[in-house]
Amino acid sequence: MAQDTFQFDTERFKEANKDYIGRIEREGLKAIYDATLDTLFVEIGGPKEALTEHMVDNVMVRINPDSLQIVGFEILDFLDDFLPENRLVREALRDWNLSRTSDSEQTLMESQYAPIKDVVESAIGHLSQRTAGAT
Amino acid sequence: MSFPRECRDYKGLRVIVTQAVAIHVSQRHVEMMIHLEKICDVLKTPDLVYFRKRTDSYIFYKLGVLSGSISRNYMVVIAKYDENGEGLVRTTFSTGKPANGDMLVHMTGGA
Repeated sequence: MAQDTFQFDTERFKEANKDYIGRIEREGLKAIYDATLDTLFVEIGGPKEALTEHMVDNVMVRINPDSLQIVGFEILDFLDDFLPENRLVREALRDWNLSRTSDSEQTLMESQYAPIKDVVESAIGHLSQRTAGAT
Repeated sequence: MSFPRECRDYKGLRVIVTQAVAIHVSQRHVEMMIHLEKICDVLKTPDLVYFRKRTDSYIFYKLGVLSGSISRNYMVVIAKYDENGEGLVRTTFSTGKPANGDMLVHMTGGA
């Protein structure tokens, strides 16, 4: 393609997300399940404009194109495919009564949801490696 | 733009954009709200189409249709098809490059 697409700088991306734990503490971490689409959204703070980058399988990462901060995740086919295959996340969300029949929301600030916060760290590492060749 | 809306993909197959998807975009992909009307265009004349076996989904990519801070990105539409070949849009967003690991099934000459 003749048109250059957006490429982000690896070091700037890592720097922007160095304090993701502090940002989660300040802005909060929330999960929203859309039953119609069987999609889970995890947001740091409220909804924000962002690029969406595919991470692995059903998981996509939301990134602010200006600050390069990770602002959330989107996981497609969450109950049908992702959760059965991810025991740690399944265990972390065991008290949240998710079903395909109704939407629901859950704040994820308690310690039992730590595996969800770990996904942020995984995304930083994963995307940093993917973009290293682009800088 | 009203929903549900019927589009045709690059093969001529019917693909529906539901009200649920429009609401999902307005709430969770706020940057795509002004680009909802372009979903049909992406489906009909994509630059790239990939198939994701894991989720049985088709991922359509098109450059040059977005504006503003995301203008240099692909507009992406993910659709699933039923056994009759009728599609449903799952989501739409913008991304810098196609996802890894998917199978390329269509590419235009300029891509």
